[in-house]
Amino acid sequence: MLFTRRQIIQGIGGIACFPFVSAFAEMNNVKTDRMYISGSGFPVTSGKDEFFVSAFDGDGNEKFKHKLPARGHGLAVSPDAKKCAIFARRPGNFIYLLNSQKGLIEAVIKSKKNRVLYGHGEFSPSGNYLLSTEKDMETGLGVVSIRDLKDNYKVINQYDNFGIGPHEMAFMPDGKTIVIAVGGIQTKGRKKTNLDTMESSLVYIDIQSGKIIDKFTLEKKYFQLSIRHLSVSKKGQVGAVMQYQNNDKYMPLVLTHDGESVLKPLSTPDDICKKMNNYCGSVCYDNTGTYLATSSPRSSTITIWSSSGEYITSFDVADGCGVSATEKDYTFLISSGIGGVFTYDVKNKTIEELDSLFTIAQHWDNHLLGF
Amino acid sequence: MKNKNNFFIKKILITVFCFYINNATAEDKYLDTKTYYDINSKALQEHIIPSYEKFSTNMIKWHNSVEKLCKNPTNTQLSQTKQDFKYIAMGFSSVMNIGFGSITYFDTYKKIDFWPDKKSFINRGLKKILKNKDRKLFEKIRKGTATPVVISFNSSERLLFKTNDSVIKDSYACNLLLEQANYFKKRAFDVLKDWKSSDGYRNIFLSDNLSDKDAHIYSTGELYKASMLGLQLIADKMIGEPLSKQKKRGRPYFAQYPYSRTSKIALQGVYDSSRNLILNIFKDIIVSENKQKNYTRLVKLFDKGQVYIDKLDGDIYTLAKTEQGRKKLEKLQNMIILIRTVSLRELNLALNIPLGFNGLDGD
Repeated sequence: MLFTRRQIIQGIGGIACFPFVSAFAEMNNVKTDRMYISGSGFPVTSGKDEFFVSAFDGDGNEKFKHKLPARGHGLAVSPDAKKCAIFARRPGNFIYLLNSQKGLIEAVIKSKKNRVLYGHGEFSPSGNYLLSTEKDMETGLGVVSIRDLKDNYKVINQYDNFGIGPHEMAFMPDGKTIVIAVGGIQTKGRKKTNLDTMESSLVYIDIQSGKIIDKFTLEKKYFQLSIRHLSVSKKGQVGAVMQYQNNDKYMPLVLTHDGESVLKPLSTPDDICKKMNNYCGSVCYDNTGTYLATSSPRSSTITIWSSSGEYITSFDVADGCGVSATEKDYTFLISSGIGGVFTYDVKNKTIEELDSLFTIAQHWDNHLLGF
Repeated sequence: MKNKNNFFIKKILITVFCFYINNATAEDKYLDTKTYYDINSKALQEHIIPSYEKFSTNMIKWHNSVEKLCKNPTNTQLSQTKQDFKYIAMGFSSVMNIGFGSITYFDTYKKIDFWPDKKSFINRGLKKILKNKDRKLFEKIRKGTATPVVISFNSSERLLFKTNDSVIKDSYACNLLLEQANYFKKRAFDVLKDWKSSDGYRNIFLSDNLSDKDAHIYSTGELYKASMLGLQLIADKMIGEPLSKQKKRGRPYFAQYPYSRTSKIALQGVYDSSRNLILNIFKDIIVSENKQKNYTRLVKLFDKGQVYIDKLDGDIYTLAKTEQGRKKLEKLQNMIILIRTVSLRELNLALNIPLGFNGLDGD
């Protein structure tokens, strides 16, 4: 009894999965030159505190793997895709700059004195500068440092006065504006110290002048939602995910922003709210900007949303957290903290695993970036 | 063969996830306390206590063998005692992945299982001890305050297999070996007693108070970790270390029990222990999630892993010396990684106990 791939896909979307149908399936790997990069490490059970930055191609084959001094977190790629960077996990002190094609470490950039890195950053559209979210240890306030890649990674400027706890940031499609997810949480080490008064926001900054163009906050009743991660679609819509800093109820955690004056979480079915368990770890638009994928690793849940703000579906990926667009429309790549990387096709509602021992054997940290 | 392997991996992994996507429901994934309690209770009766009984019995057998050697240090008895080293491999491998409970008190676990000894700490220390013949050391062993140079399985192995036969038959060296065996026997007995006694760790692990849900989840989490730790030990340490690099003339580094050639016995013991935890202790919870097919798949994976173990025609240290042997070990290692990943996923979703990078400590 043989099955065509289409029959198999229909079967998956339907009632039940025939055992071992996949034995006849072709792999749905994204066979392109596209490359993916992420932090990785040993399984928690191993007790080994060793961490890496790892890269693989669309089939899951290893491109490179370098040891890091501590856990890596966010990733960035230069506009020409020749360089990529991994930022230390908050509160961290290193940025590894890599040659993405050769897989070599080009530089290890250290944070300035009295500054700690907050896990994310971006290359400027010109490719000449590297921006990173940081905390000024003296004032406790967030800053975005700008390093000159052509002048020994010197910090040449900074954006500040926008709030506490900046985390993920991204460039808007105009190439002139950055948007920052400002979590609003003051920390000492990783301990949170202002949960009763915190204020989270999305901040837009003009990169030329450094001026805050706009700052959007959540409605008062959502004040303990911390905006941590974001993604920008090609059309300029910002999708962001949050973490609720209380356990009194289940809160909606996803929002989109297209210029609205007040930030408001998207309407989320109660059962999905509960499933997301007040924690989102990552968010990403697909290649077309039509869909948004979010991850809730504490409950091993991935949710899919339309750019118009509707909840579409959810599914389980054990400890799934890293989400990235692939170059195929309406398709995401999802990485698991207990091993494995999966493609999810929104249109066909299919999930398949990359057939690679490299991606199975690695335990993938929070974020995944494809380019 | 690579294609055949890939085919197998593909078959397992995709079908597992086909199931998950069909079952993405929004029900509360937290289990009730009684479920966790039942898992822990079953584990105590059907895994932990039997494993420590096995450990204790084997340590008694080992002790008896060394005692005979010291009383009658003939070549025949020496040869027999060398063969009996398998009791150490068999005994400790059954509890090697249970990284909680009184075995961890006073670093006992780390001391008696001191490997890989990357700086030849034991070799250098033993040389000095055998030269000085300090009998006060025996008192330290009895008190458990000695270093791994004298209270570790590696130390016993080195004494027995890497010391000149005439030296081991000498009263000091043999008595040192006997003191070690006595220490192992006593520790194994104490830990077993602790698990059986209502005053011991047993009570911490399996509280009768069902209102303390967190305590029961914690114990189940320890079991979950233990099952993964076993597979991790095999992939990363037992196979991974000797495969990682080689000395000159093809001698592998850091195999477990390299001189007694009992590494395969130890590997089998850890594998059996992990298999029992995942396929027996956690069976009900996997199947109750309406995943009989997934469970059957796990059974098949473990069976396949066993086939690869059976194909190891020698101990790991010997196999890691040859290209053909290394290929066999690599194949087994890959299979173990696959089993570990699939098991982790099954249990992560069934138990709702995060054990990954992201769920445990995200940002």
